Amino acid sequence: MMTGQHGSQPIQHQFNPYSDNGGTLLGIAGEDFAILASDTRQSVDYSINTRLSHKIKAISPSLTAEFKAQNPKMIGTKNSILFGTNGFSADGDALTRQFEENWKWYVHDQNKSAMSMQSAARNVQHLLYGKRFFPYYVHTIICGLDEEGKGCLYSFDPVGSYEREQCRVGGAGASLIMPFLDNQVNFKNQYIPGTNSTERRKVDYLSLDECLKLVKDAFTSVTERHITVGDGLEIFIIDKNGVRCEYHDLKKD
Amino acid sequence: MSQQDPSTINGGIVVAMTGKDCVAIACDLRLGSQSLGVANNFEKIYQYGKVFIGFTGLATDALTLSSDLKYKHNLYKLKENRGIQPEVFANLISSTLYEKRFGPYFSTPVVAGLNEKTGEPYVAGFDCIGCIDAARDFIVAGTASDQLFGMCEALYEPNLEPEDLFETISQALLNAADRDAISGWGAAVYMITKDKVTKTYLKTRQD
Amino acid sequence: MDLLLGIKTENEVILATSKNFARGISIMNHKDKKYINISDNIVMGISGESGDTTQFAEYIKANIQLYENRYSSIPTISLKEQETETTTSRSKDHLNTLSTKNVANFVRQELAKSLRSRKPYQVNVIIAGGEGSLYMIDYLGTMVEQPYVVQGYAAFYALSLLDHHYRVNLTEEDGLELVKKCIKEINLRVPAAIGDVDIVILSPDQVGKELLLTEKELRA
Repeated sequence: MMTGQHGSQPIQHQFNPYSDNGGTLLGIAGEDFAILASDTRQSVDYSINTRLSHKIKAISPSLTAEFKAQNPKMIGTKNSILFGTNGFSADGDALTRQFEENWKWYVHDQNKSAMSMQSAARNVQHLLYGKRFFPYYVHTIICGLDEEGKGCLYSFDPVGSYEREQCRVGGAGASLIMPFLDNQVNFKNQYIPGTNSTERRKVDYLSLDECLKLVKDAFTSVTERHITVGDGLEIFIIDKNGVRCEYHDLKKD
Repeated sequence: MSQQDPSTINGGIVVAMTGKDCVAIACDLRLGSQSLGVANNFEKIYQYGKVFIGFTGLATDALTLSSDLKYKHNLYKLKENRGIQPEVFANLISSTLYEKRFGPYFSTPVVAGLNEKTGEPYVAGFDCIGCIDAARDFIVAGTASDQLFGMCEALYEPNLEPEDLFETISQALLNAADRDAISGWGAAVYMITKDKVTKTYLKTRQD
Repeated sequence: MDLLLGIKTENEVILATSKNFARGISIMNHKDKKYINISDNIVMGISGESGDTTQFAEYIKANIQLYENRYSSIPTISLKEQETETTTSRSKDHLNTLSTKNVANFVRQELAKSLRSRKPYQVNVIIAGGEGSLYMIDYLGTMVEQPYVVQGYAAFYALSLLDHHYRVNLTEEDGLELVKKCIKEINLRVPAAIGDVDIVILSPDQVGKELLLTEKELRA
């Protein structure tokens, strides 16, 4: 005999294979560099699992002793791909590892030193769409340099739709930061003073310092208003010298 | 189809900010019915004496609430023979909304004004049952409130002069609206200082 | 499908309502009237749940008449034996007649009240006033004043046409042509038949003209 509000109705239990681990991922492509940044908090509901998780991986050819000696702070070569995922972190990790495996076999089989950004992007699409009916619950952004050495960014939805863009935010803070980037990177709604809003401000590449400022501003702002974003900020920068990583503290409340 | 969230049927946003001896309040002009745009002249900000209120949410409730408050404001003037202060109006709105605690108006108002005695700028927001949020910096409301939070948090700084506050609130509104499919279609900005109120219509995307 | 469409021209306001009365998959008759004369120069087009439409329209009309009767000026000359009330002169532009804005706000208020009642009226209306105003009010009580309005699914087809072709200084003929253009598009794209269409043309100083646009004319 069953009692309580459910009456004689049997209670159904269902396994939920997904969870939301919060966090935000942000990428900006510059003229000869690209940035991929994310916060380092990982949470479920209102609990924080860790204050130092890594959502971005620099996938790089192995570093020679010479390179290491010359660039002690660099963690990858200019041929690296910055691979970032945000959403359900287990899926993000799985996707990152799968891509890294593909990347390694690709450079090995083809006897190449690297994978081009456009090939990497297509491969990520196949990985994502391959699980079209049990998707990886992630927003993916990859950054690197294209074949001309220009900053390059591709962003993906969970099932593999992708696009090359100048900038993109993914994850919990996307709705807060994206309009800010429209405004500050692509100069949306900005007009030349004195033209009575007839002449748009010309879109131009931002310098690395300007981009880093925007990234820090964006993350301190979203940390202020979003509960799943905070603790730390990891910024990966790729340019002709290689890949380096900066860490900054964010509020831990 | 029939079960929908009343606060997102019509779309629209309001934002208010404080500056140095000034406040600004701004709204978009769209009125929609789900995906269909119905009007591009639907102003969401109303003036009551020297107090300005923006109403977002379900349009019918915004209209009802705005005329109910007009009635109450008139009675206040009649009884007290003086203008109403923004702090007082905020409490009036709060109690008006709470009266409908168990069948609420699906509207979230935003108040902006200068206190006539102290000259202090005042902004306040509410949830749909009347909880007051009297922030010292800015208040956002509507279907693009997330986007507005991001814009305001990044662009805002305290004690801006009217010209700079105007630019800040305009950019916050415009860029937030552009990332929301059911907000935009024009915008209006009110800049309120001690001896002058200016209303400006902004040029916006029309999609 | 019900059609409810209104356009403001330079000196007129045009209201178009379809005559087909449909229930489920059938058209029950071809002579439905989806508008009501609220007062001499104010017309309300109405669509929605069939019982509610007539009930609501008559309720509004009766209340507006009641108000005007109550508060209209008292005749200076007492009624003579033969005189009926209608022959007593009463100034049309007297303060106590209700303006279109007054009527629209009353209708809006009634719909907003009804929305939170046990059984809300499920009606959408257009209110047209001869002095040159045009209001659209939906069953929720959402009200807007616009130069042209369309209710229901027809809006998806007609509004984009009106956005493109509408001008503020249209003549009566231009306005009618535009109405026809919209109905033609609806006939072309919408599966359900519209049938004949009632047209009401209101202008500031004369009594409203009513005419009929037949399906034949519309197809021509």
